[in-house]
Amino acid sequence: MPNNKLLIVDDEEFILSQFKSYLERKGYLVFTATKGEEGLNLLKQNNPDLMLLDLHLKEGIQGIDVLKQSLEFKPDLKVAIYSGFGNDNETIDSCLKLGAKLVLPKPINLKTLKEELDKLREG
Amino acid sequence: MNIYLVSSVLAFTVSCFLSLIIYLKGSQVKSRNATILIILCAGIWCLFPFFAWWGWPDNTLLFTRIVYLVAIFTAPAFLNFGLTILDTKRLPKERFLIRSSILISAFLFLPFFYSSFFIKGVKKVNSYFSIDGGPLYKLFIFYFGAVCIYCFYRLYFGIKNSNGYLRNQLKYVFIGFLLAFFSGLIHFLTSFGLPEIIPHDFLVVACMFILTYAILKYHLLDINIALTRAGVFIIVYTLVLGIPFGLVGWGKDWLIYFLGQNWYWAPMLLLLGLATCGPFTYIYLSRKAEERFLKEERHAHQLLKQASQGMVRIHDKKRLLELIVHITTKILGLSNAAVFLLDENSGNFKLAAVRFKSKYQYSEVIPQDDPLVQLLATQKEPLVYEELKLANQDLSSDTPNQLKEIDSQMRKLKAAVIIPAVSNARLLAFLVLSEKKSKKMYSPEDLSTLWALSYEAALAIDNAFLYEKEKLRLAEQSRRQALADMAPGASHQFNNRLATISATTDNLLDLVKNDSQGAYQDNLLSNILEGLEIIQKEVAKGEQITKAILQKAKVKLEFDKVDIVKVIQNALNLIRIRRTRESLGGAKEPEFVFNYPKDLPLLTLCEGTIQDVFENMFNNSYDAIVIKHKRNIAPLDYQGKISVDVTRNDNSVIIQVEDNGIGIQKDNLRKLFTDFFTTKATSEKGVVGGSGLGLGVMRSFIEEHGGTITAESEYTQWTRFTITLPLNFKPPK
Repeated sequence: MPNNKLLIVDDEEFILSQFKSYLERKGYLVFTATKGEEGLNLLKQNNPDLMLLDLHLKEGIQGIDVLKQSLEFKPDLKVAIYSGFGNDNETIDSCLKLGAKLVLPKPINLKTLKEELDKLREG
Repeated sequence: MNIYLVSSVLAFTVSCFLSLIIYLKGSQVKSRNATILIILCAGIWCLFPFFAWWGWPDNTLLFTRIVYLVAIFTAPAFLNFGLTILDTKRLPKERFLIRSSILISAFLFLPFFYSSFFIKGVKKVNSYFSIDGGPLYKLFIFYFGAVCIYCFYRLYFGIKNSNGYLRNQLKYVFIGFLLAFFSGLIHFLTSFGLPEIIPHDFLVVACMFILTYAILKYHLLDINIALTRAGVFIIVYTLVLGIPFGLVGWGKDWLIYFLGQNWYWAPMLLLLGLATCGPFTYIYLSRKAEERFLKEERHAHQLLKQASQGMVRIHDKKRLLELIVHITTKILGLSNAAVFLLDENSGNFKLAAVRFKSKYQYSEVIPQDDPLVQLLATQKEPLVYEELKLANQDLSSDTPNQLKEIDSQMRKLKAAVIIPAVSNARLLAFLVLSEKKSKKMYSPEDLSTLWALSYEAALAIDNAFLYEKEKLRLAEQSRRQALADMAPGASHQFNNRLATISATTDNLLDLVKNDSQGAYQDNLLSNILEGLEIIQKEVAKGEQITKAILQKAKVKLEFDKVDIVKVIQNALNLIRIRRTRESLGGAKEPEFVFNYPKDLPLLTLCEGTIQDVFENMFNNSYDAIVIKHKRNIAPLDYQGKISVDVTRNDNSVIIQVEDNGIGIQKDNLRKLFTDFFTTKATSEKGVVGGSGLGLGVMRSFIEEHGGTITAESEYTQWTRFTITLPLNFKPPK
């Protein structure tokens, strides 16, 4: 069974705070980062088994590069990606090819999010 | 038979011939009858030497007296002609003068024409004849001279007070009659014992030709040129014929001494050679002489031609038309000019540009069914008022007539010449030109130069019409493109807002429903408060996006008092939405710096077009930053920066937009504001499409606000656009 540590990378600070608040109540240990570089550091420091990644980051390296480098560092990391863009199926496809396990919609109901993350963690 | 007799017969023949021509030319000639009368009188008088020779010795006196029967009436005929051509014949004083002159001729001289009181006899001197006059003959000379001098006096003031065609015509008449007067003088002086140096009748022949030319021809040559040509002709051909004949006359013995029997070859060959050179010499000399007279005119035509060649490059219709009236008035020295332009909606012609408006009040609109417009549209040729007037002269006044209406319209417009501008068989505009300040008439060269100018102008106007349409189409296209470009960015932004709001509400709901009793109870209220504040902030962000988009979609395309800072801010917001992370191609989001004074007054602007200008400008700056990033010439930590500085002075608001992007190469900087030119499409294919308005259209938008736009740049370093908008701009109605 993977650990309960979850890394979330999203450029929206408020989303991070709400996700963290909810998921921590539900038993996750949540690390948050607004930039890709920051996320990679947290990954190295805390070794989470789960990662929730926004493909569109305002600054720094792009979501897909964060995915690539994270999987290089920890090949068994279970990554769920999500994107607010309706038109980037290509990026999503290449993320799946790179090894992302799950694609989530944005916006997403928090309960659904928790259930999907639970499934990912167990499966 | 000698040269004096030849000239005599020639003068008579020519007078009959020219009278016939003038007669056949018919009703178009105003002073037809008066002209025929004077030419015939003079022609018959010229027969005197021939009759004297013919009747010698027995019938000479009889024949001479018969000739003088007509000659007596030459003075009234001249007076009649002069006053007719001056158009004063019907005035009471003038009528009295003509009648008195006829009476004097009829009752003072006619009864005595067969007595020696008038002509005593005829003397033969060498090859010519002279009259031995009685006392009455001397009185006759005095009377004739007095009438002639009076006529010259009237003609002289006629020339001074007239203009255009009539002025030129009167000059010809004056010079023609001066020749005839000298002829008479030579003739009269022989009876006082002075020799007749040249056959005087030749002068009458010259006079008759000049008169006929002046009466019949619409496009009279400038008199100076005509005189120059005649002078050069006489000199050249006097030499061409004179030298060989002189050689024969004075050097025959000498020639025989040298050449023997075949002496005549020398003058023959000389004549042949000179006659061959003659025409070329004539053309060369007259051209040289004319160039002196026409130096100014030629220079003017050159200037007009140069100016017209540059016209096609001007796309702004208003500027183009103002240039046309400006250069024509200035170069040709006109008192004023105006252009009437086709209004494509109504088909009427509207006053579009005037030079020296204060002098004349033009009518604003000339309807398309106006006879003047119709004539221009069908004839497609310059319309000269003088010609129209001549064509009109003999039409009876009560018949309704198109030409009459055109005549009155042209008079209303104070038009000396109207030049139509026709393109693709369509009358696009016409140029109404006044008289020249110098009162000189338009020469045929003037007209043909103006005609060429109008051809260029028509092309340019056509071009400007097309450009105006194309500009609107481009602006519309760019607007739609901008909205379409915005869609993914905007939806992403919205999704993010919704995602935050939905996460917050889910979290709060769950907190209140499931965890309000446990460990979280203490912080419940502050958690809810925090969540609600997040929602509030996110809603506000969402509002900003919708506002910006709505603003773009329904921004007004009419002039209004507008806060320029808001317009720029809006353009910034839109560009931020439009330029997604993807379009930055890995470059960092550019930094924006916006400085403006607090007390800016509202400007009269068409908000839509000005916002378009700034959006395009910021979009270009983004492109410049992306290109610099992609070219790898920027330092690793390159941060794109766009700064907007608004300042004001007494008359205008100055907006500087500067970016630290790729910059513009010197060559391109020069053609930056030409239409449809883009540095992106050509140099960076596939990187950033050269979409958008293009700086040419942006410039025209700014200029429509009475403003200016300039660009400076250092390639690979920075680009700075400076836009100046006047504070008290009055928009066109």
